[in-house]
Amino acid sequence: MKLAAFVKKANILLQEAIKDSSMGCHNKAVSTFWFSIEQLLRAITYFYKRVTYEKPGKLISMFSTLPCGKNKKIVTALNTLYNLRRLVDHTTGIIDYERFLRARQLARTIFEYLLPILEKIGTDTKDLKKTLNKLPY
Amino acid sequence: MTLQIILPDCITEMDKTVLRLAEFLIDRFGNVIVRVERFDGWDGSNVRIVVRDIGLLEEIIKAIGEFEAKLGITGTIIPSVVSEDEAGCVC
Repeated sequence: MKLAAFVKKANILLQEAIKDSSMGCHNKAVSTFWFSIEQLLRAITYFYKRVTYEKPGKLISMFSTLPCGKNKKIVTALNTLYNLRRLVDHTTGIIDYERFLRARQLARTIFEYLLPILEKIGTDTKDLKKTLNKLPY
Repeated sequence: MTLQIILPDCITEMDKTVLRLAEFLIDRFGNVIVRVERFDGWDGSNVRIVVRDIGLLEEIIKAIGEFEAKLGITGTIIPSVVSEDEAGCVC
């Protein structure tokens, strides 16, 4: 499995999330932010553990056991973004604009934390960085 | 309703952590917390927190992060925070 494939998909999903955001599709955007990040978590856990996990909870848990994942702020951000994604996709809850902005901020924090890790393990993140620059603050 | 603590036959470290977490969250959020359950979620979550105000989702997850850091168990709890009406009842 090539790590580049995870990063490529993460980039495509982030581009879609940005498009969704610009069209006011905030619920879809929150969901897609998560799915993009999920690809990066898979790349990192695959590099270190040679396995990937389908279950997001397991993925977060496994990431947090890695030396690069022992970061309270990031684990909290991952759990929060994932719970917002679950709220959007699996309940009747609707994301308002304020909460969407918060989810976007969480997504940026997580991307900015994960990108250097991916670079360290030899993955090209140039395109993903370009896309991330288009994500409003 | 009175408080009931129903323990499984075999109590694990995670069960004890959930008991402590319940106390921590009640101290922090009072009656916003409806239930704290050890849970085997389809998505890999392992603790379900049923709340009266889902608007506090972020604050609750942040508090869980603080709780984990205090105990040195960051990443052990994968929370699923749900509103009372989404969680259903315990009958």
